[in-house]
Amino acid sequence: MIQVIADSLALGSVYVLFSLGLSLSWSVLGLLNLAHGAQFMLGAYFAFLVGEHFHVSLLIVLPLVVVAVALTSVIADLLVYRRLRIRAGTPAESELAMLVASIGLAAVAETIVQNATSGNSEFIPSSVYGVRTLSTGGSVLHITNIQVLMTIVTIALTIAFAAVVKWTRFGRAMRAAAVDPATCELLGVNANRLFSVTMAISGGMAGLAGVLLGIYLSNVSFQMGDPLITKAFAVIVIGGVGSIAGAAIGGYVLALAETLVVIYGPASYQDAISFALIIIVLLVRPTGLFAQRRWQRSLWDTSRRTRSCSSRRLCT
Amino acid sequence: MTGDSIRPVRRSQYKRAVSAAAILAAGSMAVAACSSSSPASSGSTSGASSTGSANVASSTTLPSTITVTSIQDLTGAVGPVGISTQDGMNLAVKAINSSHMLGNTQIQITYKDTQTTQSQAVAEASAAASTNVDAIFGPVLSTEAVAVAPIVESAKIPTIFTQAGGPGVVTPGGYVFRVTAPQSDYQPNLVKYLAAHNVKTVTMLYDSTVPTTAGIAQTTLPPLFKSAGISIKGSYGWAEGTSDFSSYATKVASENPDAVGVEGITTEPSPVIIALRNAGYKGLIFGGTSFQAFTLQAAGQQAKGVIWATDFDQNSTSPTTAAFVKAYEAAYKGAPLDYAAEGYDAVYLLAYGLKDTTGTFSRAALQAGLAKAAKAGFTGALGHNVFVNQDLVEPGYIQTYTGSAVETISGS
Repeated sequence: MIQVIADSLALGSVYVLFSLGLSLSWSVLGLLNLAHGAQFMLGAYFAFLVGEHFHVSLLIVLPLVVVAVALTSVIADLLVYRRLRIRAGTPAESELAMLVASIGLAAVAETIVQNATSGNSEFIPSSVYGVRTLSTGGSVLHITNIQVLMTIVTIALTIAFAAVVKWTRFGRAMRAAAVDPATCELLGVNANRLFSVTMAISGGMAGLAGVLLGIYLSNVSFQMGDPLITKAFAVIVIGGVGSIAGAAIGGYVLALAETLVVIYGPASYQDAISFALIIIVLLVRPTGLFAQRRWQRSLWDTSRRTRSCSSRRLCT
Repeated sequence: MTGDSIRPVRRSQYKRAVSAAAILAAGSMAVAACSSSSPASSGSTSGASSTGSANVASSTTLPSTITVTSIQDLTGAVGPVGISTQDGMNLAVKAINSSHMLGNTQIQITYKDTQTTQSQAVAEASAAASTNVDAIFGPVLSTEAVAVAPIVESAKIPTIFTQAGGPGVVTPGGYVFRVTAPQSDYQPNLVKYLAAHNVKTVTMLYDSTVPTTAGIAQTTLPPLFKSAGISIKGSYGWAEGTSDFSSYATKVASENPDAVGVEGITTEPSPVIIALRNAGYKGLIFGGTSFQAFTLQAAGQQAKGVIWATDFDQNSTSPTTAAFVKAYEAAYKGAPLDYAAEGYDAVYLLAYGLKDTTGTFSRAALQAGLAKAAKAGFTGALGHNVFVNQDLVEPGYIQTYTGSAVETISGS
């Protein structure tokens, strides 16, 4: 059972990181970013490229890749999403246009990597980033150092992200924009900058999940991000759109459920678990297990704006 | 400007934006799909030749160009398999055309990409069936082949498949031929090898969404194991798109069988092998045709000692096999996979079928010619090719991975 928990923690960590990013862009920006899987794949691919040519430490590769993928998100925002938002007449039109554009951007990214790799999977040798098995307790538990790192990084990042959202000015701006973006703009929030920074964070999380999973599996393929979109939907539905705790718990719950199905049940039903959980949660609690009421999500008020806008970073 | 006047302007701007985004998305998908028509060049590069029983001129007047549509999985999950097959086919076309094996007749292949989707394979087959193409080379994936086979049979177009090992593809007496022996042909030798090396228990891991791999794991191997006195501890199928096999590996490691069979496609084996070794499993791992040097290199030393059965031995000293390997390495700067050898021999089967065509040239005449050529057999890249009911039969070879290269440890 302890091995099951260890496996679930590693897998769940990937789900959490991936889903947090997707949930962030969806709840704050209204963008269902279907290019998120491609960004995840780019993170893994960048890790492969760096390991192939430079042989640097994992501690250097992680932030490098996160920044690189975050930059791709910002570029996508500047070149595509922002222009669509400007031209759209209503928020609904904007969301639709950006959704369609995200599909195209995903196809472009995957095609570039597919051509670069000739459609083959690329190998990240375990020696490049020092991946090794940490067998403990005799033969009771087999876990690699990368699995431990995945779990620690995810938990730490989730806590840090929750703190940013709850206690920082930027976090309040994000929460306010999630509730009423139009009013936020009127109150001085620079919407374009908020969008770009949020996209960067979202993309960075996807990239981080990608590099960790790519190193864990020692394998990178141009299609590796596609199956995770479905998992992310399950996690977000379980946890509730915009809920950080929900995404974290949902990710680990989904991973544990899938692992238990493989260990104790018909293994081929592993993916069906994702859909079954979505349906059950939608029937029981459509907003998700940890969704908050709309009026609780915004702590942005005039008095706070007056106090916090002194540096005028997010204010016009 | 009033609010009302802003809306119509912005609505048309919105329409342009959505149209532009949709065009961008569609264009991107078209770029992703773009690897379709690319006629094989009929250059004069000399290549390996094959020998066969039909070394006589055709008794019918062949067209100056034999047009063939090759429906291959050139992109997508099995893209590497399709590309390797294409490479073998192109090499054969060059050899046949440059040596004037068919006199003044040249073979010209036009490639269509299925993108590893059944619907696209069906669409391409239907499109080819509505043209005057003389023959078709079918896709490698079983799920596509079983959908394409009825179309080409109905349209009476001579069609040659490689790989596509699922049931229901080849109908004896029909228009479909297959130049890949079903894995059930050479699995018995693999099971014998396992039994000879004291394997008493096995666990199977397989891709449950592919008929070939599921069929081998669920239908072909179990009775062979039973006959050899090997018991199956467990049999677990994974779904398409699975990338993390740690939970499967944990389960297998807890069972600790003497050997684990891994039946997957293209690059699936390595992540499974890595997961098994990371979970502490130290026993023998065996597999099928997805075990190749390029699919196992990701696992590196963790794949050392894995074994598999295959229909192609690139280390064979057979003159035709050696000549094929030499020509392939010269043309593509790398060792050929079995998919390339099968593609090569598929084109040569077509050539021998053309030579055996009699009467007025037609698809029906070509089908009869192919049946005659298959019945006679020929020696090609795969070795001596023997067909039964238009399907290649092959006892196969057992190969192993040294951690960096492939070695043949048992052969026919």
